[in-house]
Amino acid sequence: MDNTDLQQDHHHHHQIDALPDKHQDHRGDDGGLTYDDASVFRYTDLPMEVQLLVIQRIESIRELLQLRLVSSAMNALVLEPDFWRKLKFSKGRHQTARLNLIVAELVREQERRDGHSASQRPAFSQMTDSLSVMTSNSAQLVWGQEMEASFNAFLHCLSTHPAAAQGVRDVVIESWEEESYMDDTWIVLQKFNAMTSLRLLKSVLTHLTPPFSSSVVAPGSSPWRNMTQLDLTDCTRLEDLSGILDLAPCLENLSLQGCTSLRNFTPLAPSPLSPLPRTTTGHHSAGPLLYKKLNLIETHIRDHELIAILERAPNLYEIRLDQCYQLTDASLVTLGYGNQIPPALATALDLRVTYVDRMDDSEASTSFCPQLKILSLKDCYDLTDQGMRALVGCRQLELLIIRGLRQVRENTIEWLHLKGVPLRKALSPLGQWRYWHLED
Amino acid sequence: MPVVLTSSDSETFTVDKEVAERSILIKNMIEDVGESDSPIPLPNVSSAVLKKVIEFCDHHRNDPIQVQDETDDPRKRSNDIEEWDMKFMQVDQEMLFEIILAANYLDIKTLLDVGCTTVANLIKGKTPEEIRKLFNIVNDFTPEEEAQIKKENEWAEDR
Repeated sequence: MDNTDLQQDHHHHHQIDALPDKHQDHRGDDGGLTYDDASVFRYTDLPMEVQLLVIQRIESIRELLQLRLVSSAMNALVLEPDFWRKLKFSKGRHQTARLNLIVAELVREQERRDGHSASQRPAFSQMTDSLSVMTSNSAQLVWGQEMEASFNAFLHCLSTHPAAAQGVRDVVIESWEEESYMDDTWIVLQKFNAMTSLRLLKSVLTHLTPPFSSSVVAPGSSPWRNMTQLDLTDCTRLEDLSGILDLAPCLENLSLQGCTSLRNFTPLAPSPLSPLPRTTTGHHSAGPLLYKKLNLIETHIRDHELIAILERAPNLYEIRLDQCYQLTDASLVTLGYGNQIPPALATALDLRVTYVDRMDDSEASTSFCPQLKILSLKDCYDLTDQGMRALVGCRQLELLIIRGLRQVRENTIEWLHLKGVPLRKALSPLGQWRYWHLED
Repeated sequence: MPVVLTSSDSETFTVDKEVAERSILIKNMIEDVGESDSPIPLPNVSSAVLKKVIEFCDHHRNDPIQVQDETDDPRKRSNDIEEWDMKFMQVDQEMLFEIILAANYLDIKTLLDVGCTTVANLIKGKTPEEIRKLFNIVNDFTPEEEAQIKKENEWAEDR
């Protein structure tokens, strides 16, 4: 059978004139095109893996999601885990889009009302008037909620498809403003057990274990055991970190930058006497913590809370503490000397009580964080030269940022370098950059 | 040494070995059987389609063989098609799908890529209803299901 035969064959079956070599041009009435005609080739007749290969070439998330509406088979394809490794929700972008939509709606509405054709656009001033009326009627607020409601519904949809839920690796949510969906979204995210990174930024999260669902995270059944990165930057209403290491026991990279409502940081280093003994790997209530990068910029963390973390986080290589105004030299001294604080210094800082029982382990390296490479302490005004000189115990420190520390001498950085701290780059109290090159 | 291929409708095609071996399936068959004059039967491919497939393989006979890279993010693949390939793919939809099926069966990755990209480009920018028409797909959703999906999709609307 050659090509001509094929086409004749079609004509015979369909009894239609302009088919099927111009399917894409065949719009409008379905005419005699019977969908169940066996000779008509359907997309779903392609092998599943080929159908997926095609859909993989759709780059736009919006178009991908649109395909869900085509048919249930297509919907199932789109919900393949491959497509949902990364999920991103960003409110800011949507608000611009929404605003454009409002304007477009207004134009249409105006045209309907005036019976004008599309060419006779309403005057711009009229439009902006209506726009301000609409926004003042909190129409925008309602639309804003819809975004969160929609994303929440989509997360629920993914979570009911086990394969898709297991496919999610990386989630970014930005500017979640709708409180009524926040807790529910936080809980549905816990269905994505394979997630390795969650960034929930500028959002209205207030607590990590909602009070009404204290049983959600049972000890030893952490939902995010693969998660290494958690970024809650600028969640300014976050006030309770309880359960953070129950949710994500293998957390390495944590940012709480700008979480200005936090007053209690002890959940970051649960007490060794914690009543929840666990059998799983990860942060252990009595053992070392796995943190590698901590960003606590602009938080109210205090010395004893930071020290409790430092004592048990031997892998830490980056700590950012800019604008942590509660911190004093006690933190720096601990960072530099660990539990081997020179007695005179301990006395001066009134640290005796904290460390008197810890002198047994005299073989341990001086610093609790021997890997520390990056330390940023911008504008921590209470830190002094005495504390800064204790950093001589940080034998790996390469980047030090202490701009704005008025009680630290400008040449202390040089002194640290001379004493063997392998600094490569430093920002001095007066804001001067210093660079050192490798000697050999 | 030339290779003889037989289509499903018993037409025979004589092609150069290097052209035939663009198909991994045929390449493996030749390796398994060894040098032989007997034709290779391809019961899943009609002569009309096989003619097109051979045309493609002949044009690309000197291309380096693409190694399948599983680590590649499929979403990052380029959707650009060479001009020759684009012209080659200007066929009716039935033929397009037949070519894709044949490429899949014969394991010719470059042809499968070009075919899938062509179909993807047909999909782009179309409404669900237009896509149904295009591919003879029946809408089997209830209005409620449709409304639910629309709700779940709204967050990604960038109109």
